[in-house]
Amino acid sequence: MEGLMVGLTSMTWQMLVMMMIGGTLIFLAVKKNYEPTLLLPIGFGAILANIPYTSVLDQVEGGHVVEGALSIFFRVGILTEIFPLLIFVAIGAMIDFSPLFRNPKLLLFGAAAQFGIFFTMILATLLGFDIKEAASIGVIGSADGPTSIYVATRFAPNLLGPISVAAYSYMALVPIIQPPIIKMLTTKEERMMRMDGGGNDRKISRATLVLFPILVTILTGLFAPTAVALIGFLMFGNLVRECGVLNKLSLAAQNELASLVTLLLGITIASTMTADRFLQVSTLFIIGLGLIAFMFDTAGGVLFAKLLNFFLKKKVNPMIGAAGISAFPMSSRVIHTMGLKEDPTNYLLMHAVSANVSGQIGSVLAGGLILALVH
Amino acid sequence: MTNEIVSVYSQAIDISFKGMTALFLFMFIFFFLIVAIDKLLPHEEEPKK
Repeated sequence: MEGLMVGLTSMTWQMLVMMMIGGTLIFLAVKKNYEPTLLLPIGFGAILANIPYTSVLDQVEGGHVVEGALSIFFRVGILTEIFPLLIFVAIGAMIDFSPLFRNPKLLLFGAAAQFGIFFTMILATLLGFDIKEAASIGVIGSADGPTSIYVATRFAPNLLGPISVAAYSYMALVPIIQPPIIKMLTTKEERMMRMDGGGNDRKISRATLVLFPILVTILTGLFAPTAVALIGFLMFGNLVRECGVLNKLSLAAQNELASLVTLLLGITIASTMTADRFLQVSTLFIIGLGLIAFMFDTAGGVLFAKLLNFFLKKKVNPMIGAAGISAFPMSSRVIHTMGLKEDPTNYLLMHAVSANVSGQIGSVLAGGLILALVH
Repeated sequence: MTNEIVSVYSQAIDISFKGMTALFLFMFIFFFLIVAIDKLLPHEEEPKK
Protein backbone atom coordinates (compact mmCIF):
# COMPACT_ATOMS: atom_id res chain seq x y z
CA MET A 1 0.00 0.00 0.00
CA GLU A 2 2.90 2.30 0.84
CA GLY A 3 4.22 1.82 -2.70
CA LEU A 4 0.97 3.14 -4.16
CA MET A 5 1.18 6.29 -2.03
CA VAL A 6 4.73 7.19 -3.09
CA GLY A 7 3.53 9.44 -5.93
CA LEU A 8 1.10 11.31 -3.73
CA THR A 9 3.54 11.76 -0.86
CA SER A 10 6.32 12.94 -3.20
CA MET A 11 4.18 15.61 -4.80
CA THR A 12 5.55 19.12 -4.25
CA TRP A 13 3.80 22.49 -4.68
CA GLN A 14 6.16 23.24 -7.56
CA MET A 15 4.90 20.17 -9.40
CA LEU A 16 1.34 21.32 -8.78
CA VAL A 17 2.15 24.76 -10.19
CA MET A 18 3.63 23.11 -13.31
CA MET A 19 0.48 21.01 -13.73
CA MET A 20 -1.57 24.19 -13.50
CA ILE A 21 0.66 25.78 -16.15
CA GLY A 22 0.07 22.70 -18.31
CA GLY A 23 -3.67 23.04 -17.69
CA THR A 24 -3.52 26.72 -18.67
CA LEU A 25 -1.79 25.86 -21.95
CA ILE A 26 -4.47 23.24 -22.69
CA PHE A 27 -7.15 25.83 -21.84
CA LEU A 28 -5.59 28.38 -24.21
CA ALA A 29 -5.37 25.75 -26.95
CA VAL A 30 -8.90 24.39 -26.54
CA LYS A 31 -10.88 27.41 -25.48
CA LYS A 32 -8.99 30.25 -27.17
CA ASN A 33 -7.67 28.25 -30.14
CA TYR A 34 -4.13 29.64 -29.55
CA GLU A 35 -1.73 27.45 -31.58
CA PRO A 36 -3.60 24.31 -30.43
CA THR A 37 -1.44 21.91 -32.44
CA LEU A 38 1.50 22.80 -30.25
CA LEU A 39 0.20 24.25 -27.02
CA LEU A 40 -2.05 21.28 -26.32
CA PRO A 41 0.74 18.66 -26.54
CA ILE A 42 3.07 20.94 -24.56
CA GLY A 43 0.39 21.44 -21.91
CA PHE A 44 -0.36 17.75 -21.55
CA GLY A 45 3.35 16.91 -21.67
CA ALA A 46 3.95 19.36 -18.81
CA ILE A 47 1.42 17.45 -16.72
CA LEU A 48 3.01 14.11 -17.66
CA ALA A 49 6.50 15.35 -16.82
CA ASN A 50 5.54 16.66 -13.39
CA ILE A 51 3.94 13.56 -11.93
CA PRO A 52 6.36 12.28 -9.27
CA TYR A 53 8.48 9.38 -10.54
CA THR A 54 6.76 9.65 -13.91
CA SER A 55 7.63 6.79 -16.22
CA VAL A 56 7.69 9.09 -19.26
CA LEU A 57 11.06 10.44 -18.07
CA ASP A 58 14.22 8.51 -17.24
CA GLN A 59 14.16 7.24 -13.65
CA VAL A 60 16.76 5.48 -11.56
CA GLU A 61 15.43 2.24 -10.13
CA GLY A 62 17.66 -0.04 -8.09
CA GLY A 63 20.77 1.69 -9.41
CA HIS A 64 19.69 1.26 -13.06
CA VAL A 65 18.36 3.93 -15.36
CA VAL A 66 14.94 3.01 -16.71
CA GLU A 67 14.41 4.98 -19.90
CA GLY A 68 11.22 7.02 -20.24
CA ALA A 69 9.39 7.46 -23.55
CA LEU A 70 9.64 11.26 -23.61
CA SER A 71 13.31 11.16 -22.66
CA ILE A 72 13.92 8.80 -25.59
CA PHE A 73 11.96 11.10 -27.93
CA PHE A 74 14.03 14.04 -26.63
CA ARG A 75 17.34 12.34 -27.34
CA VAL A 76 16.26 10.98 -30.72
CA GLY A 77 14.13 13.85 -32.01
CA ILE A 78 15.28 17.07 -30.37
CA LEU A 79 18.95 16.66 -29.50
CA THR A 80 19.59 15.30 -32.99
CA GLU A 81 17.51 18.21 -34.40
CA ILE A 82 15.46 15.76 -36.47
CA PHE A 83 11.99 16.96 -35.34
CA PRO A 84 12.52 20.68 -36.09
CA LEU A 85 14.11 19.84 -39.44
CA LEU A 86 11.18 17.62 -40.43
CA ILE A 87 8.87 20.49 -39.51
CA PHE A 88 10.85 22.69 -41.89
CA VAL A 89 10.14 20.22 -44.72
CA ALA A 90 6.43 20.49 -43.89
CA ILE A 91 6.53 24.30 -43.70
CA GLY A 92 8.46 24.48 -46.98
CA ALA A 93 5.75 22.40 -48.62
CA MET A 94 3.16 24.89 -47.37
CA ILE A 95 4.88 28.05 -48.64
CA ASP A 96 3.89 29.55 -51.97
CA PHE A 97 6.67 31.91 -53.04
CA SER A 98 4.80 33.26 -56.07
CA PRO A 99 3.47 36.39 -54.29
CA LEU A 100 7.09 37.27 -53.55
CA PHE A 101 8.04 36.87 -57.21
CA ARG A 102 5.36 39.38 -58.12
CA ASN A 103 6.78 41.96 -55.74
CA PRO A 104 10.37 41.00 -54.88
CA LYS A 105 11.33 44.32 -53.26
CA LEU A 106 9.18 43.28 -50.31
CA LEU A 107 11.92 40.72 -49.55
CA LEU A 108 13.71 43.47 -47.66
CA PHE A 109 11.00 43.50 -45.02
CA GLY A 110 11.86 39.89 -44.27
CA ALA A 111 15.21 41.23 -43.09
CA ALA A 112 14.03 44.43 -41.37
CA ALA A 113 11.41 42.65 -39.29
CA GLN A 114 14.05 40.40 -37.71
CA PHE A 115 15.37 43.44 -35.81
CA GLY A 116 13.64 42.25 -32.63
CA ILE A 117 15.84 39.14 -32.55
CA PHE A 118 19.04 41.13 -32.27
CA PHE A 119 17.63 43.87 -30.05
CA THR A 120 16.38 41.24 -27.60
CA MET A 121 19.66 39.37 -27.70
CA ILE A 122 21.44 42.55 -26.61
CA LEU A 123 18.86 43.14 -23.89
CA ALA A 124 19.19 39.55 -22.62
CA THR A 125 22.94 39.95 -22.17
CA LEU A 126 22.25 42.92 -19.87
CA LEU A 127 20.09 40.64 -17.73
CA GLY A 128 23.04 38.32 -17.20
CA PHE A 129 22.37 35.60 -19.80
CA ASP A 130 25.47 34.32 -21.58
CA ILE A 131 25.79 34.98 -25.30
CA LYS A 132 24.40 31.60 -26.40
CA GLU A 133 21.42 31.81 -24.07
CA ALA A 134 20.82 35.44 -25.11
CA ALA A 135 20.92 34.46 -28.80
CA SER A 136 18.44 31.62 -28.21
CA ILE A 137 16.08 33.98 -26.38
CA GLY A 138 16.42 36.57 -29.15
CA VAL A 139 15.41 34.00 -31.76
CA ILE A 140 11.93 33.90 -30.16
CA GLY A 141 11.59 37.09 -32.23
CA SER A 142 11.93 35.07 -35.42
CA ALA A 143 8.22 34.36 -34.81
CA ASP A 144 9.09 30.91 -36.04
CA GLY A 145 8.70 28.07 -33.52
CA PRO A 146 10.89 25.46 -35.22
CA THR A 147 13.76 27.96 -35.69
CA SER A 148 13.54 28.93 -32.01
CA ILE A 149 13.62 25.27 -31.01
CA TYR A 150 16.47 24.49 -33.41
CA VAL A 151 18.70 27.30 -32.12
CA ALA A 152 17.81 26.66 -28.46
CA THR A 153 18.63 22.96 -28.86
CA ARG A 154 22.10 23.89 -30.06
CA PHE A 155 22.80 26.80 -27.74
CA ALA A 156 20.65 26.54 -24.63
CA PRO A 157 18.91 23.17 -24.21
CA ASN A 158 18.30 24.12 -20.56
CA LEU A 159 15.99 26.94 -21.73
CA LEU A 160 14.17 24.93 -24.41
CA GLY A 161 10.90 24.69 -22.47
CA PRO A 162 10.29 28.38 -21.73
CA ILE A 163 11.63 29.45 -25.14
CA SER A 164 9.23 27.12 -26.97
CA VAL A 165 6.26 28.14 -24.85
CA ALA A 166 7.05 31.85 -25.37
CA ALA A 167 7.64 31.44 -29.12
CA TYR A 168 4.38 29.63 -29.79
CA SER A 169 2.30 31.71 -27.37
CA TYR A 170 3.36 35.01 -28.92
CA MET A 171 2.87 33.64 -32.44
CA ALA A 172 -0.74 33.05 -31.48
CA LEU A 173 -0.92 36.55 -29.98
CA VAL A 174 0.28 38.38 -33.13
CA PRO A 175 -3.22 39.89 -33.70
CA ILE A 176 -3.00 41.43 -30.21
CA ILE A 177 0.70 42.41 -30.18
CA GLN A 178 1.10 44.03 -33.60
CA PRO A 179 -1.80 46.52 -34.02
CA PRO A 180 -0.94 48.87 -31.11
CA ILE A 181 2.73 49.05 -32.16
CA ILE A 182 1.77 49.76 -35.77
CA LYS A 183 -0.74 52.43 -34.73
CA MET A 184 1.83 54.06 -32.47
CA LEU A 185 4.36 54.34 -35.30
CA THR A 186 2.10 55.37 -38.19
CA THR A 187 -0.32 58.17 -38.97
CA LYS A 188 -3.85 57.56 -40.24
CA GLU A 189 -2.77 58.83 -43.69
CA GLU A 190 0.08 56.32 -43.77
CA ARG A 191 -2.24 53.48 -42.80
CA MET A 192 -4.63 54.50 -45.58
CA MET A 193 -1.86 54.56 -48.18
CA ARG A 194 -2.73 52.56 -51.27
CA MET A 195 -0.28 50.37 -53.12
CA ASP A 196 -0.46 49.50 -56.81
CA GLY A 197 -1.25 45.96 -57.83
CA GLY A 198 2.40 45.05 -58.46
CA GLY A 199 1.31 42.45 -61.03
CA ASN A 200 -0.68 40.55 -58.44
CA ASP A 201 -2.24 38.24 -61.00
CA ARG A 202 0.91 37.69 -63.09
CA LYS A 203 1.71 34.01 -63.54
CA ILE A 204 5.12 32.67 -62.57
CA SER A 205 6.73 29.88 -64.59
CA ARG A 206 7.20 26.51 -62.96
CA ALA A 207 10.91 26.54 -63.90
CA THR A 208 11.31 29.71 -61.81
CA LEU A 209 9.50 28.20 -58.84
CA VAL A 210 11.59 25.02 -59.06
CA LEU A 211 14.91 26.80 -59.50
CA PHE A 212 14.36 29.26 -56.65
CA PRO A 213 14.59 26.82 -53.70
CA ILE A 214 17.61 25.09 -55.23
CA LEU A 215 19.51 28.31 -55.88
CA VAL A 216 18.64 29.81 -52.49
CA THR A 217 19.98 26.68 -50.78
CA ILE A 218 23.22 26.76 -52.76
CA LEU A 219 23.75 30.50 -52.27
CA THR A 220 23.03 30.36 -48.54
CA GLY A 221 25.26 27.33 -48.18
CA LEU A 222 28.18 29.02 -49.93
CA PHE A 223 28.12 32.00 -47.57
CA ALA A 224 26.74 30.49 -44.36
CA PRO A 225 27.21 26.70 -44.32
CA THR A 226 25.84 26.45 -40.77
CA ALA A 227 22.48 27.70 -42.05
CA VAL A 228 22.21 24.97 -44.68
CA ALA A 229 20.30 22.49 -42.54
CA LEU A 230 17.67 25.10 -41.66
CA ILE A 231 17.23 26.70 -45.07
CA GLY A 232 17.94 23.46 -46.97
CA PHE A 233 15.14 21.46 -45.36
CA LEU A 234 12.73 24.38 -45.78
CA MET A 235 13.63 24.69 -49.45
CA PHE A 236 13.50 20.92 -49.94
CA GLY A 237 9.89 20.95 -48.76
CA ASN A 238 9.20 23.81 -51.15
CA LEU A 239 10.84 21.94 -54.02
CA VAL A 240 8.61 18.92 -53.35
CA ARG A 241 5.63 21.30 -53.57
CA GLU A 242 6.68 23.12 -56.72
CA CYS A 243 8.19 20.31 -58.79
CA GLY A 244 4.71 19.28 -59.88
CA VAL A 245 5.44 15.54 -59.91
CA LEU A 246 5.25 14.82 -56.17
CA ASN A 247 1.80 16.09 -55.35
CA LYS A 248 1.01 13.19 -53.01
CA LEU A 249 4.27 13.71 -51.12
CA SER A 250 3.69 17.43 -50.99
CA LEU A 251 0.23 16.94 -49.50
CA ALA A 252 1.58 14.35 -47.07
CA ALA A 253 4.28 16.79 -45.95
CA GLN A 254 1.75 19.58 -45.50
CA ASN A 255 -0.71 17.45 -43.58
CA GLU A 256 0.37 14.13 -42.08
CA LEU A 257 4.06 14.95 -41.60
CA ALA A 258 3.31 18.40 -40.19
CA SER A 259 0.67 17.08 -37.80
CA LEU A 260 2.61 14.06 -36.59
CA VAL A 261 5.92 15.82 -36.03
CA THR A 262 4.25 18.84 -34.40
CA LEU A 263 2.52 16.47 -32.00
CA LEU A 264 5.76 14.70 -31.12
CA LEU A 265 7.69 17.97 -30.96
CA GLY A 266 5.21 19.51 -28.54
CA ILE A 267 4.95 16.64 -26.12
CA THR A 268 8.71 16.04 -26.22
CA ILE A 269 9.58 19.66 -25.51
CA ALA A 270 7.30 19.45 -22.50
CA SER A 271 9.61 16.80 -21.06
CA THR A 272 12.01 19.66 -20.29
CA MET A 273 9.31 21.51 -18.37
CA THR A 274 9.90 19.89 -15.02
CA ALA A 275 9.35 22.11 -11.98
CA ASP A 276 13.03 22.30 -11.04
CA ARG A 277 13.95 23.57 -14.51
CA PHE A 278 10.93 25.71 -15.39
CA LEU A 279 10.11 27.52 -12.16
CA GLN A 280 13.04 29.88 -12.31
CA VAL A 281 13.30 33.66 -12.47
CA SER A 282 14.94 33.18 -15.88
CA THR A 283 11.63 31.80 -17.22
CA LEU A 284 9.90 35.09 -16.37
CA PHE A 285 12.71 37.01 -18.09
CA ILE A 286 12.37 34.80 -21.17
CA ILE A 287 8.59 35.31 -21.34
CA GLY A 288 9.09 39.10 -21.05
CA LEU A 289 11.96 39.23 -23.52
CA GLY A 290 9.98 37.17 -26.04
CA LEU A 291 7.25 39.80 -26.01
CA ILE A 292 9.83 42.56 -26.49
CA ALA A 293 11.28 40.64 -29.44
CA PHE A 294 7.89 40.51 -31.18
CA MET A 295 7.26 44.20 -30.48
CA PHE A 296 10.61 45.30 -31.88
CA ASP A 297 10.23 43.04 -34.93
CA THR A 298 7.03 44.91 -35.72
CA ALA A 299 8.63 48.29 -35.06
CA GLY A 300 11.68 47.37 -37.18
CA GLY A 301 9.49 46.45 -40.14
CA VAL A 302 7.30 49.57 -39.94
CA LEU A 303 10.20 51.98 -39.46
CA PHE A 304 12.16 50.40 -42.31
CA ALA A 305 9.15 50.82 -44.61
CA LYS A 306 8.97 54.49 -43.65
CA LEU A 307 12.69 54.87 -44.35
CA LEU A 308 12.35 53.10 -47.69
CA ASN A 309 9.56 55.49 -48.69
CA PHE A 310 12.09 58.35 -48.77
CA PHE A 311 13.75 56.63 -51.73
CA LEU A 312 10.83 54.97 -53.51
CA LYS A 313 8.69 56.54 -56.23
CA LYS A 314 5.85 54.11 -55.58
CA LYS A 315 5.42 54.32 -51.82
CA VAL A 316 4.85 51.32 -49.60
CA ASN A 317 2.15 51.33 -46.93
CA PRO A 318 4.35 51.25 -43.78
CA MET A 319 2.06 48.66 -42.18
CA ILE A 320 3.33 46.16 -44.77
CA GLY A 321 6.72 46.27 -43.03
CA ALA A 322 5.21 44.69 -39.95
CA ALA A 323 4.19 41.65 -42.03
CA GLY A 324 7.88 40.86 -42.53
CA ILE A 325 7.77 38.50 -39.55
CA SER A 326 7.44 34.78 -40.04
CA ALA A 327 4.04 34.24 -38.38
CA PHE A 328 2.13 33.21 -41.50
CA PRO A 329 -0.62 33.99 -42.37
CA MET A 330 -1.60 35.74 -39.10
CA SER A 331 0.55 38.78 -39.67
CA SER A 332 -0.63 39.43 -43.23
CA ARG A 333 -4.24 39.04 -42.08
CA VAL A 334 -3.66 41.55 -39.28
CA ILE A 335 -2.24 44.13 -41.73
CA HIS A 336 -5.02 43.52 -44.24
CA THR A 337 -7.69 43.95 -41.56
CA MET A 338 -6.05 47.12 -40.23
CA GLY A 339 -5.95 48.54 -43.76
CA LEU A 340 -9.63 47.74 -44.30
CA LYS A 341 -10.53 49.42 -41.01
CA GLU A 342 -8.98 52.69 -42.20
CA ASP A 343 -10.34 52.41 -45.72
CA PRO A 344 -12.77 49.58 -46.60
CA THR A 345 -11.69 49.69 -50.25
CA ASN A 346 -7.95 49.37 -49.63
CA TYR A 347 -6.90 45.74 -50.17
CA LEU A 348 -3.40 45.15 -48.84
CA LEU A 349 -3.60 41.38 -48.49
CA MET A 350 -1.41 40.31 -51.42
CA HIS A 351 1.33 42.81 -50.53
CA ALA A 352 1.20 41.73 -46.89
CA VAL A 353 1.39 38.07 -47.94
CA SER A 354 4.52 38.83 -50.02
CA ALA A 355 6.19 40.48 -47.02
CA ASN A 356 5.02 37.65 -44.76
CA VAL A 357 6.52 35.00 -47.07
CA SER A 358 9.79 36.93 -47.12
CA GLY A 359 9.61 36.88 -43.32
CA GLN A 360 9.55 33.09 -43.47
CA ILE A 361 12.82 33.12 -45.40
CA GLY A 362 14.21 35.90 -43.19
CA SER A 363 13.50 34.13 -39.92
CA VAL A 364 15.16 30.89 -40.96
CA LEU A 365 18.09 32.83 -42.36
CA ALA A 366 18.40 34.83 -39.13
CA GLY A 367 18.46 31.58 -37.15
CA GLY A 368 21.19 30.25 -39.42
CA LEU A 369 23.21 33.45 -39.15
CA ILE A 370 22.97 33.38 -35.36
CA LEU A 371 24.33 29.83 -35.44
CA ALA A 372 27.17 31.01 -37.65
CA LEU A 373 28.04 34.16 -35.73
CA VAL A 374 27.69 33.11 -32.08
CA HIS A 375 30.61 31.15 -30.70
CA MET B 1 27.56 45.99 -14.34
CA THR B 2 30.32 43.42 -14.12
CA ASN B 3 33.12 43.21 -16.66
CA GLU B 4 31.75 39.89 -17.86
CA ILE B 5 28.33 41.38 -18.67
CA VAL B 6 29.97 44.30 -20.48
CA SER B 7 32.06 41.88 -22.53
CA VAL B 8 29.05 39.71 -23.48
CA TYR B 9 27.04 42.87 -24.24
CA SER B 10 29.72 44.15 -26.63
CA GLN B 11 29.83 40.72 -28.28
CA ALA B 12 26.03 40.84 -28.72
CA ILE B 13 26.19 44.29 -30.34
CA ASP B 14 28.90 43.10 -32.71
CA ILE B 15 26.88 39.97 -33.64
CA SER B 16 23.72 42.06 -34.10
CA PHE B 17 25.45 44.45 -36.47
CA LYS B 18 26.95 41.61 -38.51
CA GLY B 19 23.69 39.62 -38.40
CA MET B 20 21.45 42.45 -39.64
CA THR B 21 23.97 43.39 -42.34
CA ALA B 22 24.24 39.79 -43.51
CA LEU B 23 20.44 39.43 -43.51
CA PHE B 24 20.01 42.47 -45.76
CA LEU B 25 22.83 41.28 -48.02
CA PHE B 26 21.20 37.88 -48.42
CA MET B 27 17.85 39.50 -49.16
CA PHE B 28 19.47 41.73 -51.79
CA ILE B 29 21.05 38.65 -53.37
CA PHE B 30 17.71 36.83 -53.35
CA PHE B 31 16.04 39.94 -54.81
CA PHE B 32 18.42 39.95 -57.79
CA LEU B 33 18.10 36.17 -58.06
CA ILE B 34 14.31 36.44 -58.31
CA VAL B 35 14.48 39.28 -60.84
CA ALA B 36 17.05 37.36 -62.92
CA ILE B 37 15.34 33.96 -63.05
CA ASP B 38 11.95 35.56 -63.56
CA LYS B 39 13.36 37.46 -66.56
CA LEU B 40 15.19 34.44 -67.95
CA LEU B 41 12.30 32.03 -67.48
CA PRO B 42 9.07 33.99 -67.85
CA HIS B 43 5.72 32.23 -67.75
CA GLU B 44 4.55 31.23 -71.19
CA GLU B 45 0.97 30.23 -71.90
CA GLU B 46 0.79 26.71 -73.30
CA PRO B 47 -0.46 26.77 -76.88
CA LYS B 48 -4.09 25.71 -77.13
CA LYS B 49 -4.48 22.33 -78.84
